[in-house]
Amino acid sequence: MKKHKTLTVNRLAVGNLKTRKKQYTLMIIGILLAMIFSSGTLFFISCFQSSREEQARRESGNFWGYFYQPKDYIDIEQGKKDGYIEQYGYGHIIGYGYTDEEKQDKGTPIAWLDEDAKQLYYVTVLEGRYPENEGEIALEADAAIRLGIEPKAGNEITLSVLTADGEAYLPQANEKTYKLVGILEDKRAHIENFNGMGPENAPMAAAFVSEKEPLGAGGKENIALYYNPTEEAIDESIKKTDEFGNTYDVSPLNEYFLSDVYEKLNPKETVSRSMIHVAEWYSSTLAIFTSVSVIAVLAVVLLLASCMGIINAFTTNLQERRRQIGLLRAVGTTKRQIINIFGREAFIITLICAPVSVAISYFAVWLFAELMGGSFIFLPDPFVLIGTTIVSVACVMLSALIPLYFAARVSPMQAIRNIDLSRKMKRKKIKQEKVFNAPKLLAKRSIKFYKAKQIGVSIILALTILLTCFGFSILKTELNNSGWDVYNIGDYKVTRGGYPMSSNFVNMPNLTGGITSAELNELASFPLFGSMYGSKSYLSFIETEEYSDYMELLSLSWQGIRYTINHDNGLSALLEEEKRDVETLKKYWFVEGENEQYTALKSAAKTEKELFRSEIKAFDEILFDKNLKRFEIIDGKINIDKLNSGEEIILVAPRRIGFDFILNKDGSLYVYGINDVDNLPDSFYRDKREIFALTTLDYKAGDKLKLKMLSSEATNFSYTEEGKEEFGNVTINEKEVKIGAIVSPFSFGDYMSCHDELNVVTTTQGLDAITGINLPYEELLIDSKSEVTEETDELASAFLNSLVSGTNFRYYSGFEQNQDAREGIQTLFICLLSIVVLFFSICASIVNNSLTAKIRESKREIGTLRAVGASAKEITQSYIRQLLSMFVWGCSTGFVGYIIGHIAIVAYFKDQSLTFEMWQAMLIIAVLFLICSINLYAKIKKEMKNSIVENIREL
Amino acid sequence: MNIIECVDLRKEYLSGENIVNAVDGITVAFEQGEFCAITGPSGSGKSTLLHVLSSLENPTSGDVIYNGKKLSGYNDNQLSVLRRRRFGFVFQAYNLVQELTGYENIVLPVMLDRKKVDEKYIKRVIDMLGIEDRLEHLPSALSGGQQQRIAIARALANKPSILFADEPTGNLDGKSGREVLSLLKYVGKEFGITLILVTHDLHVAEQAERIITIEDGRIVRDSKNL
Repeated sequence: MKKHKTLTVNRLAVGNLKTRKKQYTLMIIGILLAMIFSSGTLFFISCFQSSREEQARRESGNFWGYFYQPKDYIDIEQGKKDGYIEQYGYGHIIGYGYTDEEKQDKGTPIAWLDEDAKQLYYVTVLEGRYPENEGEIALEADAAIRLGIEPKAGNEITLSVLTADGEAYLPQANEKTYKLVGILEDKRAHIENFNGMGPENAPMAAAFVSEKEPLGAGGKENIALYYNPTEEAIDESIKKTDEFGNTYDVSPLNEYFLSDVYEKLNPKETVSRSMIHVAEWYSSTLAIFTSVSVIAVLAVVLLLASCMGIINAFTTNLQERRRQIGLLRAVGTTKRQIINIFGREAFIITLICAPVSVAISYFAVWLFAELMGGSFIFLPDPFVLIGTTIVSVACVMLSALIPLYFAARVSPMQAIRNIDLSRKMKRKKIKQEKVFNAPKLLAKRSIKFYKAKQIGVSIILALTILLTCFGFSILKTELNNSGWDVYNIGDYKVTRGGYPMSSNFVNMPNLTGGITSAELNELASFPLFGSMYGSKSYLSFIETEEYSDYMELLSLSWQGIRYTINHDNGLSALLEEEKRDVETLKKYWFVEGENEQYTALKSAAKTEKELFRSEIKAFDEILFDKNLKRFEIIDGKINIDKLNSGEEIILVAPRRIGFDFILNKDGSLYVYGINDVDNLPDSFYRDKREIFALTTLDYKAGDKLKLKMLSSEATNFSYTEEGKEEFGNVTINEKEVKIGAIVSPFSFGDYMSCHDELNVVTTTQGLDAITGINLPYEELLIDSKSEVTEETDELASAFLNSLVSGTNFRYYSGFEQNQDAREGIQTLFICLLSIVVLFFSICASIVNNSLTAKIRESKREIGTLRAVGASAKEITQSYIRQLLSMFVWGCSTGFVGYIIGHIAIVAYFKDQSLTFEMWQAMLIIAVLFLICSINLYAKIKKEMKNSIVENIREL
Repeated sequence: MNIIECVDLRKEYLSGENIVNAVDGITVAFEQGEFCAITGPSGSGKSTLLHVLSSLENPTSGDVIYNGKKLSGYNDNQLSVLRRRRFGFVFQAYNLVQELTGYENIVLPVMLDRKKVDEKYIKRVIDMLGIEDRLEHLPSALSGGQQQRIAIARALANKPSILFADEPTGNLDGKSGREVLSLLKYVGKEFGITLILVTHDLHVAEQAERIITIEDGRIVRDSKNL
């Protein structure tokens, strides 16, 4: 007799899998996709994190801090022995190289690194190799360009080299020829920005030689020390930093943190904080994602979406097998056993799917990193791999439990005869239609009876829309705020330091400043340059009978010229005062009475009235045209013609200002300053901020302002022995203007801004009309005639370089400045696109899965409809209508949610810069609808291929 | 005059690795207005014959000729139109569209045809079948007998020339079964419709004017029931 094997749950599950392969295909695909999504998300985040770290390392090195000439003030060896220092290495700066005597400041220190320093410095070779022999040199790409050297390995280069002398450099330069063996990724420019020190003093070199390179005669190496603290030191410092933050109610400061590490290094003397460098935390291009919480939220959203996919796949599968569940229940299987049997199946499928999906997603993310190149790296980390697999399996199993639990709860008869649907139908009230369009009515009823499914699909659609809209909105906003504006508004910016040509009190037209008309002509003659526009400014005073409270309060800011500040003010006692007005504040803040300089000014201005300093900022009309809508108008309206004629001006003034501070736990005040109380600048402790002496603006549109402008013939600033400014021969110019509009302080990119209260803004034409002089431009923006490319930028930069006549003339290339930003935006864009595509796929898979299941479930109904004469067209129409309804609900919810969310965010954060983006989501939804429709059509076509009898046969 | 006929009709199925001849070279004709019962044991091929005759299934070979036209020459759309205009179906499991009310189910073929409902005619059918108070209910709220009446009304809605009924009383109790059968017979006569009914129940078959008995896919007896 044949021996029967014992029936176990495992065997039953495996048996089920073997015999119902077809039924499982859909579920397996669903699970596979969901697992690919979930593991892909985790890999992507890991890739993102490692790329971010890699980018930070490449940009700033793999070290936390550095010291210049450390032997003088630090005992690093002892620090290591004491357990504060993990690793350190020395950079040996042997000289300073440059190519052009005139542009000596564009050179770079030349150094060799010891083995540890090489690791810490994180030298990244882009082309060629690192120098190994005497006479060889490697340059950072940016430094090579600055030096006018073609960044190509293999060339011979000649540098003028100043030899290091142990502190700085010897004055005499020597010509030296090197073989350029390698081009390195830029690092130094970053550090320079960070420290604000000139390259000649920077402890970070951009040119490297081998250790065999001899030091020039009479020289001594300048030493730079790069180090990493130990984990313990970091932890301890973080604790201290937190304590600091808690005590003073301010955000923990990076610098404080690092100086605390420094203090552990047995310092022989105190160094300035600017010597301390934060490498690990510094990554400008990915600034938006620095917040771990953003990544975490995204990961959770994506994982949830994956889980919804899994729930959907299981629900579909279990729905199809209700009869089987019912039968098992009827023969006495308990709910627990049902969960066990079907859960076991799920587990087996998951175990089969896990390696496949993890491998696919791993490969996809790897490919993504490879294709992106640059700083995108995906490190094969076994912990990430194992962790991802476990999380993915856990996601599937946890998600599977939900439909399993509900399926097992169904009573046997309910399952066999689908009683609950009949009950549901009985409960629903429907309006009978005498005449109807069959596909339309069928779709309508179907939606009514299968609402849950529709809601599920609508939710996922709405989520996709929200994610896409907000994603692109953030991206676009980031794009607008990342300096890209400079690129869009002007491809080049030209400024001259020393402008405005005024002292604190008088305009000095004889001082050189601004862009001369000769320069303007020369710029206009350059064939690549198109339109040019810019800004001007002029110092003026508002003449008034008496200072208003608003003006008195503003005197606390830098605009205050009338009073002398009392530095020993004992501000803490301020809060005990009953009257919280400007008068009280003034008692603490100012030495009583007007200062002498102000009295002198009044006498120079030949007035008995009061003067309030108000700079006139003027912008070309084109800048107004581009930004008119961005002004936050408090009163009146901006009339460009009246601005141009000098009849009207715009007054920059918030409606309400106040003394803005927080009270530290030790009783001291942390002062933020005089601020617009309705638009308080962001800070860590925004909600704890207090306002003293709240004051409302007393000007309104239509009011007249008397502007008094003083100009001196002096060719240089001169001061008395007491440090008082002497004005020389002063000419007084007066003009009465009308306030056309009052606007909030604004900042539109870095080309059009005015932050100071009671300043005057007008057009450049208007300024010329007010002053009666054709003032030179302070800043000029130049549009390129065609799109800027690397080649044209080189030409333009060379031309602008040639214009530099050594007197504070500066130019900025938007192209160059934005290369970093563009790379960052590209990265962001790719990340966002990947996430949207991922979500899109999940969404498509869920919608398709639901519809496929619906069609399978409705096989019999399709047969019946065919039998009574419905053609494929009518049946397809009915399903497309259902699909359309899901989309309409999902889209309306999504878009309405987005609009409300957008309005709420803008209102709450008072962030006008957040852009409104909807078309991308619309496009995605359209594509999604198309895909789902095609899939639907294919599925119906497949059903129609079967004979009607096959359709209507009892399952 | 023959309204529908078939010539050397064959229908083969694949059952596992074996080919089953469900209909094995049947040639038979039906006259306008006749009531014919097709009977035979389970698996004899009687339902398959009905399905192929009524274009619910394609034959493996042979022809079905309706009103002198071969159905093999019709495309899918033409067959759909033929089914909704000329044929009516009554199934054992009623096969009503669950989301539509009784009335909506009845007029479904007319609506699919985008025609105006002949209110008078439909009312007559409804009155005849005694379902006027069940029209607003969904099928799930109706008994088997009531559902089958709705199904018959639906089959008659477009004034078909042939009504195909596949075990129409199979799911009903004796009393309901008898009522449904007499209704079918009555409406057939009343509207001059050819009624082709498949049943394994001899009592049902005996009600017909003509009884065709099938065994192993072949007609073994074709007799007039006088």
